[in-house]
Amino acid sequence: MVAGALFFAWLMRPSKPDPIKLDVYECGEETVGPSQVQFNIKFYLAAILFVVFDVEALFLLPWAVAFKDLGIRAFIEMILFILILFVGLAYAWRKGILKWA
Amino acid sequence: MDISVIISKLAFYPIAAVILIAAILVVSLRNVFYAALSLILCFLGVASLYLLLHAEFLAGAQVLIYIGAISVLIIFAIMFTKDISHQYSSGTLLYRVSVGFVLFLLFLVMTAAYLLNAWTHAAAGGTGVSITDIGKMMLSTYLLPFEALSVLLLAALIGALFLARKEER
Repeated sequence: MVAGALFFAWLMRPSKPDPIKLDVYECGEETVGPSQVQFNIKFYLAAILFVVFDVEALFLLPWAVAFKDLGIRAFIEMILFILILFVGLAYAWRKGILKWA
Repeated sequence: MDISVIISKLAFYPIAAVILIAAILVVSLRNVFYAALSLILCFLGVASLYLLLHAEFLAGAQVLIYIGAISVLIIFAIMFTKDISHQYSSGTLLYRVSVGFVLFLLFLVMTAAYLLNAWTHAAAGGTGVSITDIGKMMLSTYLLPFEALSVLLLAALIGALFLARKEER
């Protein structure tokens, strides 16, 4: 019923947009420039870091679920996995990629 | 029939509808940024389908890798391309015909795969391999590939950062 009423209202009502109607309501801030601008390369470096540690998180998932059934050996194996990937983080840190200047 | 089985069978239809609508939006929206956002919605629907099939690890992979990583990369590719949101070009006729031909071939392959598969796992409601089994196998039988994977990821990370920083300078 409600959907039908809304649909017919949409069908029947006139559409006459003009700049003043589409303007920001009351005391809203006027927008400056387009919303999709070119990004700084720094965001991209952060995104690469995110992607790799995202994949790492995926492999932590089955380990975390099976943690109670796995022994100390599996724990050490996972620590080794994390440590190898930590080298990458250390590299990024050393090269100043984590710095936001 | 069990009530949970009925619910999961019923849940398939709205999820499939969301996937189909989102997929159609991906190819029909003029603004490539909105297309990327619908692609994320499509990925989310596929993740829900994996959950319905009791493939929890695949669902986790879908959410983390596709919705997390792949979407971020796609959106970055859009953001880094100058004025891509305002270009509505569909290419030349030759381009469109060749893309259509490749997609038609892909459709034939997918149809053949669909018809030739018996779908026994899907009919049984999953493979019966839980995420716990995957965790156990990952850290015992497949330990060496798993640790090799960390080295591969490390190489990819350092390589990507090196190349991106070279661009920066």
